[in-house]
Amino acid sequence: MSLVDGARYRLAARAPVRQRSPAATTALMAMVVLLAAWQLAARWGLVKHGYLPAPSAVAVAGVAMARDGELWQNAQISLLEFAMGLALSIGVGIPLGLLMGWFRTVRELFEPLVMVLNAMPRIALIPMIVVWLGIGSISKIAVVFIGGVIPLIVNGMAGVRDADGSLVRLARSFCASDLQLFLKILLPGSVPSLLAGLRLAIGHAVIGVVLAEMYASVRGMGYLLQSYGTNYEAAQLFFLVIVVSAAGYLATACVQLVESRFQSWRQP
Amino acid sequence: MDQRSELAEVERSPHVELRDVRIAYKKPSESRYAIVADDVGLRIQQGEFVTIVGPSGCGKTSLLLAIDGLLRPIRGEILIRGRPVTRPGRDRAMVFQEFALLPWRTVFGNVAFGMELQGGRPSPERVERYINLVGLNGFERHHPHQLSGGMRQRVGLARALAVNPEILLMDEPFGALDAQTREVMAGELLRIWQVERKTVVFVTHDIDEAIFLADRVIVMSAAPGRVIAEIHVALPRPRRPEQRASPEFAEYRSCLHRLLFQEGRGEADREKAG
Repeated sequence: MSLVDGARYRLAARAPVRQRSPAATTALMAMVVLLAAWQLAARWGLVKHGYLPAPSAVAVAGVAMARDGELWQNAQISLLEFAMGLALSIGVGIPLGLLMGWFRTVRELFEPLVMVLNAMPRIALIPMIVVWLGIGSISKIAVVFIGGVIPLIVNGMAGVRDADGSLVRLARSFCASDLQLFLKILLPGSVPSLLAGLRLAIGHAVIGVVLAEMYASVRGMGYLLQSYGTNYEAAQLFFLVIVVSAAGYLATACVQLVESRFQSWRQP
Repeated sequence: MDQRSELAEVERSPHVELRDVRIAYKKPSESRYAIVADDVGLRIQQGEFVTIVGPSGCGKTSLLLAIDGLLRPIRGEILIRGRPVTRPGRDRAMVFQEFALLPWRTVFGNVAFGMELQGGRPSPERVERYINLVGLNGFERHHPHQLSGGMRQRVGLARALAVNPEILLMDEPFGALDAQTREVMAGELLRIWQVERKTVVFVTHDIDEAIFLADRVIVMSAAPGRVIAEIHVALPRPRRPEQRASPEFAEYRSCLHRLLFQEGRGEADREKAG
């Protein structure tokens, strides 16, 4: 009796680990079924030609774009604008957010502006940014920046302000200076919040770079999307959307990987 | 006063002295102070183990924070070796009820934390020594979330001891632990105290714990907390768990229970239940 119970216990303990692979298999199967249905619907003419290209057509268009270098040339430009804009928002957003959490004066100075920018559809500023900075890469970087910087500021501020009071008291009890308190308690304590902010920032930045290029540009993924879109070349359009989504997903997944490392110590 | 007589004064004076201390809090929404502890006078000698018991809300934790310098009394003064306390100092270290471990640091990093704040890089041997002292050798690389409650508080204790304070302030350090672990930890604490010989002020609401550990038990009333009795515990040291079952222990227990029960009846009941 007890032996049977013991065996059951062990099985139960292992169950969560085993569950992962069936879930992944299910998701994969769903994808395959969906793609197949899509392919067949296009092949049998269930959707009007030009409305929805078949997955095979999307793949063919993609290969062609990759072959003649069009994809990589434009992707490179978008990647660069994305990376620079994001780096800039990290460089400004994280320090500013932390300072706003730490110093009341800094918070009072910037909080209204940040809150307004946070509520605003910042993408709507693209026409003005183009007027100010032209249609080159600088304006794209600026759009990525205003998209990404806000979530980093907000989360940096929250990370410091939501610091564990008992840890602050602990540091004070050990005679910590203000700088020590910041470096040893508040900063490491904000890391999870900052990483969550970074994930949001990446999402905003991807949308920012694509939209800015769509609005006014002669190169980049957004420009490609725009030109294929206006010509109703659906296969190319779909392919580009998939590539951009995959890139955004990849960047977010990288942050999530780092986050999971920090999750381990957040467990109660 | 010339230097010599000042020295003599310091020698005669107790290690920690509270004179007529009143502690009060003001909520932002209210204009008046709520007094949590009042008229508290205490003299604690060097190397003494003092426990403070009282119903919840009697200000015993606040008193401890005030001795540490994290909280300022609104009246009276707190002296350590004759000098008034104005801020936290290296001569005092605190052990917290909620452990207050840095979740992103390992056991080693947590024990080193206090030393780091107080004087640059701590030597690994010293950190290791205190990890051994609290019996956590082999767990240096573990993170707090991988430890049991009792082990976490061992880390808290090692961290406090590692800065070599003269006074150890312990705020219901075993309050979050189950009864069994609590007794084990009390025994461990006494064993370590026997080695390190600090002056200890230990706040608890557990009567048995207060008796078992103490040279002297300070009994406080319900809020606003005042000292209603001081009981010298004459049980022989080193204390052994069996002493908890002795008739002398029972006598102390009923005496303390009576004192706490007379004051604020409901409160004392709750203490007993919890």
